[in-house]
Amino acid sequence: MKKILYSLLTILFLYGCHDIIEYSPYQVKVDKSDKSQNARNLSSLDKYNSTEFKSFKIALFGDTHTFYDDFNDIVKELNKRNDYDFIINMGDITLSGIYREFKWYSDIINKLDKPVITIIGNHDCLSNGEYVFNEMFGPTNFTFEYNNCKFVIFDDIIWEKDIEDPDFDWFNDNLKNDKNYKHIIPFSHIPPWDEQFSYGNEMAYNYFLDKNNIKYSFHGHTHNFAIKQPYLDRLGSVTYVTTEAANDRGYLVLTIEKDDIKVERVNF
Amino acid sequence: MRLFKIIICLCICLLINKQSYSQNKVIASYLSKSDTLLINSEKIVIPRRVIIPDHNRLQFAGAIGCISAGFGYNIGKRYEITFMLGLENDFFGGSKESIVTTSIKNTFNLFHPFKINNNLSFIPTAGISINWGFTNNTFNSLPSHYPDSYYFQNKIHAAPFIGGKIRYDLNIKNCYKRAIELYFELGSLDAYIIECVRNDYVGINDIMNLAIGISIYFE
Repeated sequence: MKKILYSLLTILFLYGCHDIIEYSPYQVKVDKSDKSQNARNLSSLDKYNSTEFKSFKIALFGDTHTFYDDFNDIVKELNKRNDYDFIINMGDITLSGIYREFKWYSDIINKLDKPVITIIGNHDCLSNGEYVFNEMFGPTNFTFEYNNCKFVIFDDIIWEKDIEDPDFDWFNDNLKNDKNYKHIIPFSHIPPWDEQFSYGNEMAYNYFLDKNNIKYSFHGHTHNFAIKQPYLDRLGSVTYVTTEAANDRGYLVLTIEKDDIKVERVNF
Repeated sequence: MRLFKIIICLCICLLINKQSYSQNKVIASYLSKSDTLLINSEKIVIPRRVIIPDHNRLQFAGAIGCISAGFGYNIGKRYEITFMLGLENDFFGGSKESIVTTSIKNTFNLFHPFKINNNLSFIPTAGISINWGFTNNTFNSLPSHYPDSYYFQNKIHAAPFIGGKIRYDLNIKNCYKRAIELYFELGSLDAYIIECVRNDYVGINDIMNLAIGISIYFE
């Protein structure tokens, strides 16, 4: 009798386990329901999108890493309000780029009422992370339009990809205002003053923004909230905004107005 | 070419067993656990050959590849050490990038076997595996372009497990095969356990994986 009870309990436990058959922690094998989430979320925005500019709000958070409890609270807080149109995650969604960390992240963002756009971070490029990211979210460099504003999502990871420079040609091409956009807003995980950027790359990043009359650039990576203009003494007056990490229990709300972008920090 | 090498290694793992050497009874007993031989009622002591393994294993899943094979040694009655080589790629397991894992599996037989009948018995096991993952961007020590301790190493993982095995004793005379075992292991990984401890969100049921395998023991 006891044996049967133990066997039944074991079977019940196994039935309740997620991904019980696991071939490797590094696997690049994404469920169909988790694939191409950025494209799917963008297409769900289409019905609210208009070709004319109108003021709107977006929410911003980043560096969720494996702070899942705090991240869950951010999701709950964001679900309480309804005044923003979509969310951008500034990257670093995992700690070591292994499959289960991506899966846990994906499960949490699917609880959000509003669509999320996910940017790649440096931690997401460890082991096979970059390939899991491509499967789960799509390309790492991409642009989209919303209410006559252009969002340029730029992958500027250098060390983890073992490359010298990010794809600045692509970046420069996509920052050009060729369709009379009200705003062109670049988002990338690493801010240019980070140690991953060589001095030349740092100056190049700022130069491309200044050349294309970009006013604001948004980043994660630093785990600190900051609004600053670090290159006033050298070139231009681009304002750089960085988000804090999930364990700081906060997010940003950007109000995109006709002439300016307002940054509001919310902590709970 | 890489895949070809892996297949060769797997074949070698499977072939290194006593079957290849047991052409006749003398050699078979020469390679056996007992170090003495009786020839014409004379007792001859022969040093034990330890390089030839005591068991071979074939395993499905368990975070060391879709399929893995290996060989190992029984040290005492309780402890077994097994060297495994596992593979996951597009064909085996469906991963877009191929992953080769080597693993040192330390298994402890927890209790005396529970006899089911004359040949069959059940033995609960527990242990820990040390796994090396060979794929893109895994490292033991940081590549030189990073500052010191920018990342923790991500190549070696410790994987504790509990499980059990059903042992079928082959009581066949003059046979080098002693027993066949079917085993299962419920395991996890250090990285997952840390997240489970740190977060309420990650539960025990989120961090487990199951391995099923077969091992052949030699006399």
